[in-house]
Amino acid sequence: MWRQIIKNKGFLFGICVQLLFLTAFSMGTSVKAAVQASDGFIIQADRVVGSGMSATIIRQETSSSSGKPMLRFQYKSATIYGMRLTKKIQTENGPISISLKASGPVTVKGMTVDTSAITFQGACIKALMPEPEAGMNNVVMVAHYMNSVDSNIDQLKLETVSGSVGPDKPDTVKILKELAGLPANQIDSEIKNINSSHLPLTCDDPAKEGSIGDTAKLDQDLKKAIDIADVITNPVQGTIGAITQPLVPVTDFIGEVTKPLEPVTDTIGEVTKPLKPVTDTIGEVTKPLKPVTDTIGEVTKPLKPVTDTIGEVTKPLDPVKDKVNDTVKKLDPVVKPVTDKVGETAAKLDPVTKPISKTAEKVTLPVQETVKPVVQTTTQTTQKVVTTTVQTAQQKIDATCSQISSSGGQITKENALTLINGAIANKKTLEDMCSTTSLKDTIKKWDDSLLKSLGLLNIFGKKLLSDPMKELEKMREQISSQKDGTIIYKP
Amino acid sequence: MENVIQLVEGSTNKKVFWSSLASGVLLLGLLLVTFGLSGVAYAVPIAGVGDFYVEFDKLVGTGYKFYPKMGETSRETSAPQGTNLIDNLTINNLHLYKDFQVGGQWIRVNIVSSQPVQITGLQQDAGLIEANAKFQNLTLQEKKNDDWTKQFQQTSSNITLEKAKLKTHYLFQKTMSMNGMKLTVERIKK
Repeated sequence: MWRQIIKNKGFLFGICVQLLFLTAFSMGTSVKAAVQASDGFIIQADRVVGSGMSATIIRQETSSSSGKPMLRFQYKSATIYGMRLTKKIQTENGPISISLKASGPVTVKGMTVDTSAITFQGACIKALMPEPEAGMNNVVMVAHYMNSVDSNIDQLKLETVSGSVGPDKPDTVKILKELAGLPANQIDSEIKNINSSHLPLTCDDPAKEGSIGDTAKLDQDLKKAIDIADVITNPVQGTIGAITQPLVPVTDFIGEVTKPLEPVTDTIGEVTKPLKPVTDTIGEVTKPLKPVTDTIGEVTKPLKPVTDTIGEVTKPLDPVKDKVNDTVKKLDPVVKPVTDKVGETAAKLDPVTKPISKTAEKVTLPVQETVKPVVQTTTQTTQKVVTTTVQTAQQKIDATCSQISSSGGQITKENALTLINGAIANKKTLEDMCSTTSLKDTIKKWDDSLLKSLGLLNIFGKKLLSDPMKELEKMREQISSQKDGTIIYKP
Repeated sequence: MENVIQLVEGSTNKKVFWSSLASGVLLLGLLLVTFGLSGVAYAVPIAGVGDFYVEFDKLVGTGYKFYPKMGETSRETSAPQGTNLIDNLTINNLHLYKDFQVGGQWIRVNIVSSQPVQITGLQQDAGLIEANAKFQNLTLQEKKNDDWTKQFQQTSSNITLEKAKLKTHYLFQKTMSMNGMKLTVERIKK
């Protein structure tokens, strides 16, 4: 019978069609899964504490979509503890994962995060309702864009590894699911409506999320506690002895009431932990201050040698004073011999001073006596010398005149200077220097030619200078510049 | 009948080892000669010597970009890596080192620079980066692209890394000024 069924063409065709559809759907689903696996990067954080937080809905580009509805969180500043970021990527060689971990706290300023899915423990967040202080615990989100103005990541570890590592993606937020189901042209208008109405964004299931900020859940908890308290108070009114035993369940019920508060106490515990490094840091800061005080001690010590140095400076001043005294004393003997010798030097000659310095006392008396006759003889000799000198000058002039006469009227440089000097000394003209008439004519002609050559005569032959002595001096200057033996004038 | 396990002692192919070591040292030597001639090296790639480590006290750079890629390492022909591009940067106390196993012993070739290293056009393919990091205008962004290497990017206008250690597979610089460079070889224990 089975053989007949298998041989039936209709049956085989049906099996083939089923296999075809099965293959097609299975291939399609696998491709979709691969794309979804690489869509978004997962950010995890043990705790996020931020200020100036607000949330809204926007449309953001992803690796598989150009405009997907997302939640946008914005913080003015935030501190993230225990941050892990994982990005899974499908490659031709299989999946790889980028892992970014921060063992230390991450501080960010001006942070914006766009997420399509998020779970966390914390207050319910409403659209465009600013939260001055916001805290979230155990955050897991699928982010598609993250930006911060300033980021400080302590103990960063960034690695790229093979395989698909990291946590599973959280469920998409309910409100985003609903938006995704809308036609594209309605999404933007619905987003505007949500933002303007400040609708809740992250309050899908408060009981599941454990949102402590959900007032409805808190009210329910309070009502439960009051009901339980009512049940407890009834037996208390009955017998006093029985009151103590029912009090035990009362503490249990209180325990139930405080449970929602536990996240708050945990949070305080986590906040105090980061403070510990601060106190440690203060401890480390005080230690380096010790060397500073030591350094001050070291600074004062070097000041001592400075005072010592001043002491040393004053001491050397004493010998300076002594030296001044010595110098003054020494000057006395210098002044005395100088004053004594002034009178002597005026009249004395060099050879006489040497024997005086050797035996001053003995020599001074006879020397003073001998000085007078020396002075007298000097004046006598000077008178003699002057008269003989004058006589010799006239003789020289006469000899010069005779030389000029004998040379036929030729006047040499030396003869000319002798005549000029004689004329200046005697305040006479050159013609008057020689008594011979013929020579007088010769000298006059020489005089005229000399004056012409010196440019001391005008075109009419008149002398330009009125003072004959100046003429003679100019002549002497002119002739003195000539070589010795030069013939100044030839008749 | 009992099975007798015969121990086979492994041995290093000396030809292969010495040729690879010589080529690595030759590459480093060429690099040193380039630095020694001008103080500034142009278009400097450091590759073909396998994984090596880059450590430094501080890096300050501008124009940072990170994206994933698959690249060759000393052990695999294609391994996941991250490409780091920095336009301009200065590194203080740079230390590059590579460990070689010679026989049964390990030696480490160190290149250190006592003075700040100026680099332009840096491309570094790293498998691991450990550092204290500061970013300005940091952006992590997805983009819709058929090329998977362009689907995720991390960019920053300014980057500062302190006390950093990078496991590097490939390093390229357009220009590099490395004054006060010193090459040492030492025996290490592993």
